[in-house]
Amino acid sequence: MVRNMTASTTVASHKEIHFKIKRQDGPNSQPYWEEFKMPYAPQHNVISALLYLREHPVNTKGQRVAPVAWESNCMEEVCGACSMLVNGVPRQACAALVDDLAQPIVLEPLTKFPIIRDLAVDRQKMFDALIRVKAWVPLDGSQDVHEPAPRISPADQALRYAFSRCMTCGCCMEACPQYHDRSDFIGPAPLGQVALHNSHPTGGFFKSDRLHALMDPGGIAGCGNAQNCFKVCPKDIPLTHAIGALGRQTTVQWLRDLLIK
Amino acid sequence: MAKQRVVVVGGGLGGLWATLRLAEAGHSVDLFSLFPVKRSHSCCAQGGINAVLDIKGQHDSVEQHVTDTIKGGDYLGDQPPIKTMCQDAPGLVRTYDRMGVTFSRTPEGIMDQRLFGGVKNRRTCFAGATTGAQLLYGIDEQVRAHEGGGRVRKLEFWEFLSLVLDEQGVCRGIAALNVRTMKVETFRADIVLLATGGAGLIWGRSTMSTNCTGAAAARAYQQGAKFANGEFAQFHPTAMKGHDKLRLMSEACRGEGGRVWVPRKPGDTRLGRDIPENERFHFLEEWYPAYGNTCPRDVASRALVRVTRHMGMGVRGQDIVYLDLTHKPREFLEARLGGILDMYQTFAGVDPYTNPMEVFPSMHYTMGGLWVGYEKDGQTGGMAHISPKNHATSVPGLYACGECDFAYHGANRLGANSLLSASFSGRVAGDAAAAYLKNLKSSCDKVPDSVHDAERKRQEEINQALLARTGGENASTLHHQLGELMQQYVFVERDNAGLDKALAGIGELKERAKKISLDDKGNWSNQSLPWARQVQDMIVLGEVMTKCARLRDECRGSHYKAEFELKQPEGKFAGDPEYEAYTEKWKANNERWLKHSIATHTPAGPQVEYWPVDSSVMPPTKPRDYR
Amino acid sequence: MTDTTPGLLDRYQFQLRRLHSLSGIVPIGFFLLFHLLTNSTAFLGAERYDTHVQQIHDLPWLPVIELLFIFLPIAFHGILGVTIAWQGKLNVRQYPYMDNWRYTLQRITAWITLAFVAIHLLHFRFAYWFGEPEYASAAPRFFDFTRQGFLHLWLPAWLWIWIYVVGVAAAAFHFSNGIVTFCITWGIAVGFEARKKLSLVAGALCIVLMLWGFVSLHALTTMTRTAPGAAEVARGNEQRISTPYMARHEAPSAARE
Ligand SMILES: Cc1cc2nc3c(=O)[nH]c(=O)nc-3n(C[C@H](O)[C@H](O)[C@H](O)COP(=O)(O)OP(=O)(O)OC[C@H]3O[C@@H](n4cnc5c(N)ncnc54)[C@H](O)[C@@H]3O)c2cc1C
Ligand code: HEM
Ligand code: HEM
Ligand code: SF4
Ligand code: F3S
Ligand code: FES
Repeated sequence: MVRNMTASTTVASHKEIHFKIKRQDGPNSQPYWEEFKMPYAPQHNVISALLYLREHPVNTKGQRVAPVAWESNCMEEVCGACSMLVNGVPRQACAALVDDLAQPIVLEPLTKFPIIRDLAVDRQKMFDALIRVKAWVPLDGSQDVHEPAPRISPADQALRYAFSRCMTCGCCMEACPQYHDRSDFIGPAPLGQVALHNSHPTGGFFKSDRLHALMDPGGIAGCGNAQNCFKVCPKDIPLTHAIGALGRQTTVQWLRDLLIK
Repeated sequence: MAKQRVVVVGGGLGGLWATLRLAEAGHSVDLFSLFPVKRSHSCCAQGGINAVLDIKGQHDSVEQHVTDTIKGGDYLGDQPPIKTMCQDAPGLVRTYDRMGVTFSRTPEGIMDQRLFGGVKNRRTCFAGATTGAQLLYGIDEQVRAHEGGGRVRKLEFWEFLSLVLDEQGVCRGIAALNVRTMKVETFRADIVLLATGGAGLIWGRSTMSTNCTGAAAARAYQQGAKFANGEFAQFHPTAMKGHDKLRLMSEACRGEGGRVWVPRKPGDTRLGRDIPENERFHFLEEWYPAYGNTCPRDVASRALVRVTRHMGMGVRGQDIVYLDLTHKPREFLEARLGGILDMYQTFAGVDPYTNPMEVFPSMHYTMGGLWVGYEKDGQTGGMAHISPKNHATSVPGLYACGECDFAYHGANRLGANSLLSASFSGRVAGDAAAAYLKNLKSSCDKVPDSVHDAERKRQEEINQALLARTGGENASTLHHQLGELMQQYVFVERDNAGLDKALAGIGELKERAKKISLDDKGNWSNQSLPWARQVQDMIVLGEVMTKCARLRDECRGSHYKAEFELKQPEGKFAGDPEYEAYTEKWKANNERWLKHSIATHTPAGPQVEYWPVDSSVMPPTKPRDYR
Repeated sequence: MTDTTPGLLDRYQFQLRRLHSLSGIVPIGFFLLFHLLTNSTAFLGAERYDTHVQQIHDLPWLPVIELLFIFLPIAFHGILGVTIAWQGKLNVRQYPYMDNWRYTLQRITAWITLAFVAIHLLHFRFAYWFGEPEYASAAPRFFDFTRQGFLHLWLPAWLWIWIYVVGVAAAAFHFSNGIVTFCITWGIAVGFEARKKLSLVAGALCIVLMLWGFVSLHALTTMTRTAPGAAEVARGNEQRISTPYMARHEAPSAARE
């Protein structure tokens, strides 16, 4: 869906691919823009182009410079490593086809995470959040207990599957107006994972722990229902559904705490 | 006794399973990875994981799984571990299920199973078309629980550089590079476990992630670990074209009914979807009626190369065949294969629901890897469940599991067996490591600092030298050239003349690699430096693989040299004298070649010897036959 | 902004956020509906309006009710609302999705409503702080008093009308959209379908509330008494009735109306 937003012109006629890249040498250095041009070839994506530029790191001024730093791994939009702003939109650069992008293609690092270098940022806090909300199903050891999990209907599986595809890429966090350095909001991605694990028959055993984590400061309360998160998610994870469901679960939990405890 | 330390390098399925087992056994684990473990290559696996659940009324059995795996690997796999792996597969899958992995379900709410290549029964559990990611996330979450509990310390964005070996040659830790600060540090460990995955990048482009360089295994190899069966690399028949990666279209496409074909008329210029049924040549179905489109990968890949390069029938005269799902209902495809079909749409810009997909074989999996041992269980004929010998490499104190070891798949891996082997081997290796630690008398804390300092200095000097060098060679350029050599000469079909050329080419690359200089001389998050080192190590491993291929004068599994092919008599089957004569020749060939090739590093290049295969479970009496 | 009440906001973030959400509906939302309802009776004639307002003013414990159910909740919702609005880094230019627009407008209308309510309270409820007559003192002729307030107090009439148009529109949007977000926040609307339906209902409500408010405004600023009320007849000529603002501001000629 976001994809089409940027696909303003088709550039198959270009002889070159023109990049404008926001660079920053280190966490404390000043950012600067640098432009690169490389020969056009069909079916390039942003990462394959960066790989080319790694071999030929010459900017438009003709200077040979240090290659751009970035993160990538799978090259097929499943590992979540290569998130960056491509023409202003947070997405997986490996799935951003040059042929679909208006030029010059502007690359910027995600803005909601500390910059490591150039296009590489530090998303550790997303992983920390997963620990905080206990995003796992509690097991009494990984040995075989000669029994599978309780049965799960295909419909429940379908919903859980939708959530389980989160690759911790951070696009949703980037687009969320409530998630930034002035707010302690946990952000949408971990919320999706709580919804996922709460919905599992035995994962639900931790439900109240997870909900309490979300009811603590810096939990779910920071969400302002902007709903950008769902729109930019490359995996179409129904985050707003998760937020609604967790709204209900925390309401019930709260009442329970007030009345029963 | 001082506290014991464990280092696990690699956080794919293999490394995470090992970590989990060690943490559950009460050990503290340092888990190293190039990037957050959740991004490991295992997340690319699509199709599924094999385990006999026998829920489809086909009377599937563990014995049949063992047989299929052994035969699929052309008898080159050591059979006791294969047997135990297949026996444990259902339990392993059940455990994944308990972890909350979102396996696709039958209407009754139990795990569903689909058909995969090289087998006749529906035996593959799957989670949509993103099984690898789902399994990886499941185990990642379990490890995260231990991380939260303080048992596991993750060292992500650290690259393993080398082993720290003491005077006795025992592995006592590792040297690693923090790829952000560019500092080298050594870490003490009583045991080191490598689970660093496959090495597809040696072919330049493959279906693997761009970080699957095999460099870590190459480093262990250069420090004395033996590398086994390097010549066996799997070429997956159906991958897309690409600059950076040859994206896989899973075997599940064929498992779910996809058909492979080319136009009967060579060079037909019509769009695939406009070519009528009777003008389509379904060559797999015609050549291998019993298995058809789901014949094993080595067989299918060779058929694809034959139809395109030898018969000149590739789509538009190119190295392309069609993989066609358009006859299947859209809803069915969306539910079963949605993830990968979306990927095809994204990267090819063509709708695979209405157009046949364009594919060709690609480097996909390394059957070869670090040699690891096992302890045979005298009673069951399988592998002992817990033994310090399991998954131990030839370097004391060093273990290996996952795709970077050589076990389980012999000369060719069956589809959906490697998520199984990566998981299973991780579990076994974790248990083995715990057993090793139990028996261990000395502690890594006693190893003098000088040993560690020396290794750190050695690594720092390598880095400094690289940074200072002005030789003018570019690491990426060398990588491309290595890839071209491997793609041309060490591909689906091989011949000795070509392999000799490849070896010569690799020799040149090795020399040129000494002149690599970096475009980035900085000391903060310098990605050029580790990349240059990886390229050098890829060249070393590429040489091992090419050399082993050069030396093996036969056809076995994925390794094919036309010159040495024992032709199956056409139209003849067991019982026919001609076929029996062929079987005899086949047996004689096994006498000579049914052996693991074992490479040892020497300064002059790999030294190769041959070690026996344990065929005690199912001695090879009949040649593979998928007709 | 958080530094005004840091400990509390942090410790009870979740609970406060929920109460904030709730307070927007009960009692503030209810008050708004009720208030617009009362105002709109002007449309039915001055007498009806007077009667209704009188009924309210006749309520026992009125100051307490006002304090507990109107002023305190608005103060609570407003103050917390400001800290919440402060938290968002609006990005609708970069992400021009419908929902993000609504999120953004929820903040913008919060500021507008805040300003409007402040002006509005000074205008009618607390004008006596500035030496004007108290609203209650207008009994029973609330209609005329209100009308004069628009036409003759402090600002030119057109400006008052614009302030009210904007204020009513902002409040209508803020409340209607608030119902949607309230339902998400409390988990009443979970799925996409529920949310979509709710948004449609809320959109309709928003338009209705706006029109409703405009109509009352129109009635209060343009309509005159059609016939003198019974009380006036008893006392004599309608013109003699003293309108407090006019008295202070040199009563204009009747012709000007
Ligand atoms: C496209 C594709 C589809 C596949 N589909 C299937 C399928 O359907 N079914 C199936 O059974 N198999 C499938 N496979 C094969 C299977 O995915 C892999 O064999 C398996 O995931 C390998 O797991 P692993 O744990 O060995 O390694 P990986 O998952 O590759 O993990 C390697 C780890 O090692 C780390 N590492 C590497 N080098 C270093 C270093 N120097 N220092 C520190 N850390 C390092 C990495 O960070 C990473 O964490 C597929 C493979 C591909 C390419
Ligand atoms: C059509 C537009 C409106 C008109 C004509 C109007 C009129 C009035 C009048 C005449 C009063 C004084 C009532 C009294 O003291 O008895 C009043 C009070 C008040 N109005 Fe409005 N109002 C309008 C819209 C709004 C809106 C949109 C809001 C807020 C969201 C609002 C909030 C209040 C509040 C909080 C009070 C004080 C309540 C009290 O004293 O009990 N008004 N309004
Ligand atoms: C006085 C100034 C006001 C301010 C500063 C203010 C501020 C806010 C803000 C910032 C929000 C968004 C909260 C979030 O989404 O996280 C909000 C929500 C809301 N407001 Fe107000 N508001 C004010 C007045 C009002 C009034 C007068 C009403 C009622 C008519 C009202 C009703 C609501 C409702 C129903 C919500 C939705 C609650 C939710 O999202 O859960 N607000 N307000
Ligand atoms: S929810 Fe979507 S956008 Fe957010 S981290 Fe997960 S995959 Fe990325
Ligand atoms: S964008 Fe942010 S505000 Fe909530 S609905 Fe999504 S988390
Ligand atoms: S490289 Fe994995 S998502 Fe782009």
